[in-house]
Amino acid sequence: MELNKVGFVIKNSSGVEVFSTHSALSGVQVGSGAITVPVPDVPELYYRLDAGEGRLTDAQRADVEQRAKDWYAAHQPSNASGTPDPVYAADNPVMKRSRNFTAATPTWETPPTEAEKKSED
Amino acid sequence: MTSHPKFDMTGIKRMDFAVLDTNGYPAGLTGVLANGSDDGFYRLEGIKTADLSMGNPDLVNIVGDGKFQSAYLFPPAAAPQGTIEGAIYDMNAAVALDGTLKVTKGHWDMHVLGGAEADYKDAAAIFTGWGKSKTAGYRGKTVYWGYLVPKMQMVLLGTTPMQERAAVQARFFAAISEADKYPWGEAFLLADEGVTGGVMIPYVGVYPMTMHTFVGNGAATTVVLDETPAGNDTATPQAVFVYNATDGALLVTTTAYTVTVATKTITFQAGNIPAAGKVIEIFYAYVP
Repeated sequence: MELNKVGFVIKNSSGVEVFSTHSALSGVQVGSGAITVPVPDVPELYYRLDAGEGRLTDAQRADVEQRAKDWYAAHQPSNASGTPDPVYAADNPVMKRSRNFTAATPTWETPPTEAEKKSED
Repeated sequence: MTSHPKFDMTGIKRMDFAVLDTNGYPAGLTGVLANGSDDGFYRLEGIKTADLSMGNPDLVNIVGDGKFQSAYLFPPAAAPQGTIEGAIYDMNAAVALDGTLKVTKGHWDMHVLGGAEADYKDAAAIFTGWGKSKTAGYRGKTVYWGYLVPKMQMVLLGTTPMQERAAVQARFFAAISEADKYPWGEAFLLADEGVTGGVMIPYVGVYPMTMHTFVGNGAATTVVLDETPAGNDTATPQAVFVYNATDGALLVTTTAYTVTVATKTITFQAGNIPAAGKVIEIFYAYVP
């Protein structure tokens, strides 16, 4: 069973293939009482919420579900043609320091050059 | 299996609770679970004291011939009630229990105490403490004891006095109602419990207990528990019990579901996948 920090889960007839220890809404690590919620129209796709996040607004729910579907599409084996899998993006140190990175639309970016690193320091 | 009906007690390890849904089944902090969703009991962290005890029975003295004749005890006329104090102020728990909402404004989270529209929710709770067995041959073995409370209401009162160089604690007031079944839907029976109704259920065992709720959607076959089960569904004694909450029927192990301890997973078997809207309550011993 794979684990991720982006809040999305894949459960199918084979069992739980991917599980998350974090909230898909806030990104925090979930504690007791965390909720696992199915994504409509994608039977094996779920997202996780921390216990206090159970009352989503319609906009929040739509956003989480869309991000889950985007992640799910990117996570399919057919897309694993040398492209780094976004499921791991949030854990990647390059992604973490990327100025363009957002949890909603993880993208890969060229690591900063040594000159850029010095200018940031 | 060794029973430990006599034990000494100390401290309080944790309190877990869940708000009840409209049918009286535990359903997370919101009391509502969509089909296909699952949710474990919520832990109220930092709990320091839980002063919940049965009220005194009503005492009726019989006086005749100018002197005392006898006394009769009648069941208590008041609900068990008391305060629960914790070192941690938990807004999520507070708003879930009084039916209000937490708001975030800028840098701050806040909620309204004493709200005019507050609607105190029913909840089920599990209080757990430590103990040592007094069973012959097992004296001194650690056991876990506590109270299982099927139906209670609990509301945050605020805190103990803010005081210089002293810890401040969050204070809840709780009142317990009579219930006629366990939180997982199994009814109290005269043949088994000797009662058809009651308020609190003291328990003891070598592992602490908790619960997890799942609402079927006709497709989902697996549930991942919050805690690691202390054994599986076929162990002796059984560590995981899966109930159909609607009628309190215990599902048949192996046939209806299996338990994978390593991944904390319950897997419903073909032909036994919970239908849409069916509430499943999982009651299990966990590794502390």
